[in-house]
Amino acid sequence: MKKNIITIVSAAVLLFNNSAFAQTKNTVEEIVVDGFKVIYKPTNNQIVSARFFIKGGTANYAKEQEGIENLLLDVMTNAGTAKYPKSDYNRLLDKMGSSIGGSSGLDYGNIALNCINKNFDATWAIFEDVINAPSMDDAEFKKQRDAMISNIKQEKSDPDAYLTEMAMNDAFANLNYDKNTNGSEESLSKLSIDDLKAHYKKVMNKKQTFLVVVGKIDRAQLIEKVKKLIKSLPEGAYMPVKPALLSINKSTLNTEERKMATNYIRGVMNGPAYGTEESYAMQLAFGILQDRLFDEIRTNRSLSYAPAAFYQTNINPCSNVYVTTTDPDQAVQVIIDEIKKIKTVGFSEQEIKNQKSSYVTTYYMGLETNAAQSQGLGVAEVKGNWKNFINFIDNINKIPAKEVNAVVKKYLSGIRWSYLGDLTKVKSDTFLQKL
Amino acid sequence: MFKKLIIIIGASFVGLSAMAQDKLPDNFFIKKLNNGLEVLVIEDENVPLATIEIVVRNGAYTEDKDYNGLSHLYEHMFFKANKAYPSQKAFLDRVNELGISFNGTTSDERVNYFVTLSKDKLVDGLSFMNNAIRYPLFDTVEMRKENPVVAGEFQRAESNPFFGLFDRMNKEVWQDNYSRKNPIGDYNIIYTATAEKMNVIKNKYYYPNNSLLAVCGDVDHNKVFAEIEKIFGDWAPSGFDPFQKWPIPEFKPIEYAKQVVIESPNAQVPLFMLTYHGPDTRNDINATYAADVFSYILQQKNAKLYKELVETGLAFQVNVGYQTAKYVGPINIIMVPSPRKIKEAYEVLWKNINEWDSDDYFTDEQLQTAKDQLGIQEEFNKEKPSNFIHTVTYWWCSATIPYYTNYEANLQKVTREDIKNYVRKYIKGKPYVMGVMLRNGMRKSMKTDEFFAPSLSMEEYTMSFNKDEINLAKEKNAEKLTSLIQWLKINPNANISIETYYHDGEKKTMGMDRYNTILKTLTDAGIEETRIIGTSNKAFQVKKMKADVEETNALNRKVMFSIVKK
Repeated sequence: MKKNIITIVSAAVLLFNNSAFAQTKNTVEEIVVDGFKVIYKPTNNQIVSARFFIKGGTANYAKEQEGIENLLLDVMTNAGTAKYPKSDYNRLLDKMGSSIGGSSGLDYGNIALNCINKNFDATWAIFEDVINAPSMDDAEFKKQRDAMISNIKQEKSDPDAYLTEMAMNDAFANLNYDKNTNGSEESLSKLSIDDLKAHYKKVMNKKQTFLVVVGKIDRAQLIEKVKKLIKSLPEGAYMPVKPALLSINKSTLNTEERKMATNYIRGVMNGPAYGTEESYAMQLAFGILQDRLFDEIRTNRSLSYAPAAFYQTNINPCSNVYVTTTDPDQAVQVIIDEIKKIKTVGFSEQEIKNQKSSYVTTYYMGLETNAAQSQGLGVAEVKGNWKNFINFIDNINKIPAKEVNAVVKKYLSGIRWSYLGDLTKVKSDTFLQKL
Repeated sequence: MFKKLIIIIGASFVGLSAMAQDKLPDNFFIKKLNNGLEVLVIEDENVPLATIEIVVRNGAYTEDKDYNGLSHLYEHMFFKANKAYPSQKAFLDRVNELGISFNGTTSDERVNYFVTLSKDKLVDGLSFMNNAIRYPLFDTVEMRKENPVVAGEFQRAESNPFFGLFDRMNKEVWQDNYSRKNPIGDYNIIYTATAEKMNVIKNKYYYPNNSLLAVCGDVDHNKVFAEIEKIFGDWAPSGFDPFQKWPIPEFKPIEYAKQVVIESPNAQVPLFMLTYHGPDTRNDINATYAADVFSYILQQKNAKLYKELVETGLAFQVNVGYQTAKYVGPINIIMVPSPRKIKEAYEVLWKNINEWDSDDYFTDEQLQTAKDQLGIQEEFNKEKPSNFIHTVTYWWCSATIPYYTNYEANLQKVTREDIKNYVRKYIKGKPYVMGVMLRNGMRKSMKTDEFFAPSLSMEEYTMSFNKDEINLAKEKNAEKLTSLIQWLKINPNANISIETYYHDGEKKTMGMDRYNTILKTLTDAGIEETRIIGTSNKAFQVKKMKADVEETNALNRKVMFSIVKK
């Protein structure tokens, strides 16, 4: 058994040694420019990705103001700036084929620049103005707000998006994640341009923000650019968000009727904190559980096209199971049986070995673009340390089988189910079984 | 290096004759095996992975209604038992063992299967694909189990209310050949599929001479060619061209413009969709380039369309796209209007469409920006080899590899005149299908019928009158008349004939009076009288039992409509 693990570790090392990424693995560098953190990775290709991260996400605003950070970033990246009025802003970006977009999620917001090398200087000049001098025009604000409300409504039509909202609101009730990052019609309607200006002032400081740049950019020139970028950012103060671990010890069921061709079901369970050994063990466990649900629900029983199991490595982590099915009773029973099985019987060494091997492929697929790399580095930094991103495969490979088996026993003790669909098909006893 | 280049050009000359004249990118290498299998290798050392893709010229366009959805089911069966891995479990164990990330897609004109794995396992990956493509078992039990899974995929699509609109639109746009643009297929056909039907597909399309094998990633093309020759070299060709043997029927043009209304309790915002039949790569290749450039002009935020619809707050989104295809590429326009300004948004959209061929609709800078953007987009596409390979294989199916390799150069040649010609040939004044998705109740509350009423067939417009009356009192008839007026407005070149009837016991002038009532309603709504011809007829009276007489008479107090063919 031990031999197998060693083989896999060696394979991973070999991959690193042979890869282009291996050459640059150690060149990811953290630079502090006038008190502001920059994570920099030079590459040889023709694309540049830069992301300005704002830490905090849903921790940055109250439930009543949910959606405010996304709206702020929408206005900042769509309404023009002091130097570039909207018409010029759009014309120049279109002309260069560059994009500057902003969005805010559960743990962070970011303003992302994407361009080809030759247009980097000109795109950066606009990026700099977006960050420092966005046009906070009231008419533009109202237009963006209306568009966002329309998007929220459109999203509600999509059962997957709506189920996600149901599940997060239920599992994280009264915690930061019960805020909808896109807001609600009610919260957005009450926001004013002054609220946005206040939010800008609150989050835009050197301590709460940092930058990631991946591209063929000269280091010295980048530092000069960054100095100019942060010239007017205040020092500020930022207390990192403390992870709130879920404590689900019994199963519950939250339902909503919707007439559709099938039923959408998601179950949320506890999960270990990101970056810990337990979190890597849980990722392996849920990778294997995903395969088992595929086998049992889809291949053997034809109960669903799309069963899934995944562990979400947010600051406030959670484990998830998901299925769409016309036979919820049977599908949920299989999910519960499989979870019980992994808790009692555990996983085989071979399964864990194979899972580690799959992670190598998907990890590298996630490294193919500079934008994916800047995202990966930035998100890891938001959650504690950017190095977790580049050490991911090493960290996964270090996990022994016994830890994978132990972590599911420790964390999977109840499921908060959310169900969207035909309520006549719900047998609550099935959902509410003990794990 | 020079020697290598010569060999490659030689190979391309044999393999893809059109390719010989076209310069391939430096990292593209192509070859054709003796059995007709075309092989494309794209070297890219970005990450230590290799993606292997097998592409077959199959998909919805090869399906009549009895096979609709079976290319898709076949695609699912690829990932099941085969000679080397005799159960799906064995197949998936091998997937896990090799650390493979896999998937497949079925679209109108392509079925592709792809795996990504460590570059060190490339040979294992090729062998794995060889077994799956050549030796599927179509195990009866696995088939039976897979049918509901594909149905489940269908149900998921159906659960999104917009699917209802897209599907209905597709039926109207593609008419008798709807199945050939409907890759997800027909639920009942999928559910009742058999291994025999799978073998029919295999025996028609699954041959090396109808397939492309592409490998992209951190690989050496010479080694890949050699391995492929060893593994796939003995795959027997069919000896026929399936598209000559079973030609794809031509799509019937849309004859008359049509409006479609879909109401759903789950639709939260209104959404318009407008579709035209566009050019294709068999018949009008230059127009396909003009179509792409024009779509990119329209999506610029300073474009007139965006400014007049989105900047003014009339709409939240507007998007114009053309899908390149070998068999009639659709031009789709999608707009999410502000619910409060739905009629205004609709009118401004049409105002813009009618201006699309005017000299000053877009600036020279916007034209150049569109061309440059398309080029830059390609740079972004190339950044992700595991995705980029899909782009290239799409062109192999719906055009040719040279179409793709010369794409940027040809875009740069597109002129304002080319775009005007494209608009005039495919869009302006051409019949279309336009649909709107509304939440239940919106149709009435927003009075959308006043400008957008569901079109009916001429037979369905038949209306009836009350005895001795010339007015169409019933609400149902009023709805039909509103719809007919809309139909005449969106088909300004169509003329109709109206036949009115009266029966025994009614005044002889009643038929004519009824005709005049309809005529006045139409002309009051702005329809020119010259577009309408009418006749009044006495209904043939069938002698029946007394109890049935009134029922028969009621049917005879009718007015019927038909299109006057020119």
